[in-house]
Amino acid sequence: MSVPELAVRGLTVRFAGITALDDVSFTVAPKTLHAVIGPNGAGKSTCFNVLSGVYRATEGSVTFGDAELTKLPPHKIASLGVARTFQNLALSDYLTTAANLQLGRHRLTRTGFVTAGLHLPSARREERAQADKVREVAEYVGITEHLPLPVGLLPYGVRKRVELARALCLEPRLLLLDEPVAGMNGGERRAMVETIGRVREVMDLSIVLVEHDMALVGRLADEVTVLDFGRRLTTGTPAEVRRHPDVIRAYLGKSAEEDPAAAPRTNDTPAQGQGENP
Amino acid sequence: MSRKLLWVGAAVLLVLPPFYLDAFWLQSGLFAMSAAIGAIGLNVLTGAAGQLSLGHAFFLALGAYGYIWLAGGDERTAGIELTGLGLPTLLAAVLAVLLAGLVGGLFAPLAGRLRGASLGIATLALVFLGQHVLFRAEGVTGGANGRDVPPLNVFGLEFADSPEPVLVLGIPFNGLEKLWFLGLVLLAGAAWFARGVLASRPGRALNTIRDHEIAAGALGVPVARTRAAAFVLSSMYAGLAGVLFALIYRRTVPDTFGLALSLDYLAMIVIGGLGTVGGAVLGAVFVSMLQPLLTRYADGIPFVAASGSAGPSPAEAARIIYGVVFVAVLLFLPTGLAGGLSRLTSRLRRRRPGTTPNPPASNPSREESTA
Ligand SMILES: Nc1ncnc2c1ncn2[C@@H]1O[C@H](COP(=O)(O)OP(=O)(O)O)[C@@H](O)[C@H]1O
Ligand SMILES: [Mg+2]
Repeated sequence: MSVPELAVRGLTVRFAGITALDDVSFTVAPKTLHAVIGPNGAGKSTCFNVLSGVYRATEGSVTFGDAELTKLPPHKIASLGVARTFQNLALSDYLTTAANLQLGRHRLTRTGFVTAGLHLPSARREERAQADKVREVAEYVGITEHLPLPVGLLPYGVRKRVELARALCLEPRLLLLDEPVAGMNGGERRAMVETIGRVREVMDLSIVLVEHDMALVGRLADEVTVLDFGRRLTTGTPAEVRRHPDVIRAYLGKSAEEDPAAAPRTNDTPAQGQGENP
Repeated sequence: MSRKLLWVGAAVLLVLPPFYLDAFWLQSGLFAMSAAIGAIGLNVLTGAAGQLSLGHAFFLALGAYGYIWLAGGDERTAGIELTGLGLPTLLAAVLAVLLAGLVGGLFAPLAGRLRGASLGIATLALVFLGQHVLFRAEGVTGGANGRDVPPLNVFGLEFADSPEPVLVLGIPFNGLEKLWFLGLVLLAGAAWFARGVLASRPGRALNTIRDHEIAAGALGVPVARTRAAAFVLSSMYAGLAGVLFALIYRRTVPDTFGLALSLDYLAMIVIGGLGTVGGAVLGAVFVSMLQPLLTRYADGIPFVAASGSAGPSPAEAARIIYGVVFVAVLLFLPTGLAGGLSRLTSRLRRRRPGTTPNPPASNPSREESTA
């Protein structure tokens, strides 16, 4: 399965009174990891929401290969192999980890109401095959021990990993990660970064990653796009971006002179949630 | 092992009533079965998918009157010209269920797009519309006086009283006795089907739509279509419950299918436990057996009036009691009676040594950095 290019062209999103994204363009080359950074409210999550069909673009286009994503409903986008995680976790707390991951297999499975209701052999077979696949992904992400537990009982850091695992269950060609290490402690953070790095190495996919932490982005990303107040400041390699004067001014603020990799201006704590948007 | 034993025990218990209980209890039990079927359907929609429906009574009416009209013949009673297609009754029963599903499907554009409480309001309109039509369409429903229900006939086996009933183990098997077994079979089938749905791919999709609609879409679930499918399925369950209801009471009046019935069904699934088959059945049995129990034992219960004297009638008392239970469950048993029961049994099992241990306790340690 080939991985096409993701091209965002002139993307503008307006809400009543607010321009969340203003004529933003960038390209994600196949099988690269592209980071999108920017202070709080820069429009990063909005961008993901357009890419995954949750928000409609006011103007502009997003193409993934031949498909124009701005015209498709979310489930059609998912069926192209676009998977995402959410900044503020979107798991089913009452379902087990295993069931949450099984939902990631939805697009790759068939069982409908009738076949499931009649307990047809095909439904059972599929269920078993998916359980194996889920176990495999869980092992990969290191959450096997949590499979039988309801997600609501798991600590925050583990739930973040469950969400990553669920997205991987889709066998994505494009993986959108919205602040995957936000709110994690040091150890959890390192483990997550290591996992993302491994996914990137081993799997056939492109990744778009939203993150605040410059040091982390520098370690993972091939390219970085910087957003500020809905506009794209620049795109380049991590090193280039870090040296860019606009970025230093807008994103890193005054502390930039002291240590460019230090905590950014808006090191929020997303565990509390910060916006009503998904 | 002990689980299997439990099922066998339950099956035996359920087969016995026709041999020991009188018509009153058989009818009450059958009513509970019909309610359980309807409640399972509502629980797929409201419990599993989080879509509130106040229109369940409407679809029950569709099943009941659909059957009556499809199976009944043209006749004239009490000055009302009744019409009917006179189809074979088994076919009529099947078609009545399909009819409920079809009308549920016509409602799909709304059932798919509206979420949660807004769907509740839209379906409320259905109940009122339904009541209006039922009273007006006298030719089909018999109007306010109702209409007799043609007895079901399955390949020569008629579910009706006869002058010379068959004796089974010395007990005369009349309509209710026979219907009892039909009810059991239908309920078992309905429960089995719903369990299959809820425990696999479509059920998980419904749960995720309930818990996080946007995530469901992003994972590839066609949200509107899946919701609409749940609505259709729930309508068909209501239709089946309606057919059985009509067969049990042999006469149906439009008054039955008002908002109060819809609310009864909501009470059943909340009291029994949202989102599970067991919860729906438990809640249905609880809510629908309350009134007959109070009726039979009114004299022995302090505040319930026996017929004729002052105080709340058994029907009113039943409503009061289950209203109180409803609130108590909301406050103290978020998973309903079924959830409370399963917690209780698992606790008992844990106490008893030598039995299979439960899954790990519910305080997973914080995952450490090495992964
Ligand atoms: N659904 C929405 N309705 C109105 N405004 C929104 C909505 N979603 C996001 N916004 C606004 O768009 C801007 C960008 O938000 P967001 O994309 O969440 O930023 P980021 O993820 O970069 O922190 C913010 O001003 C936010 O308030
Ligand atoms: Mg954000």
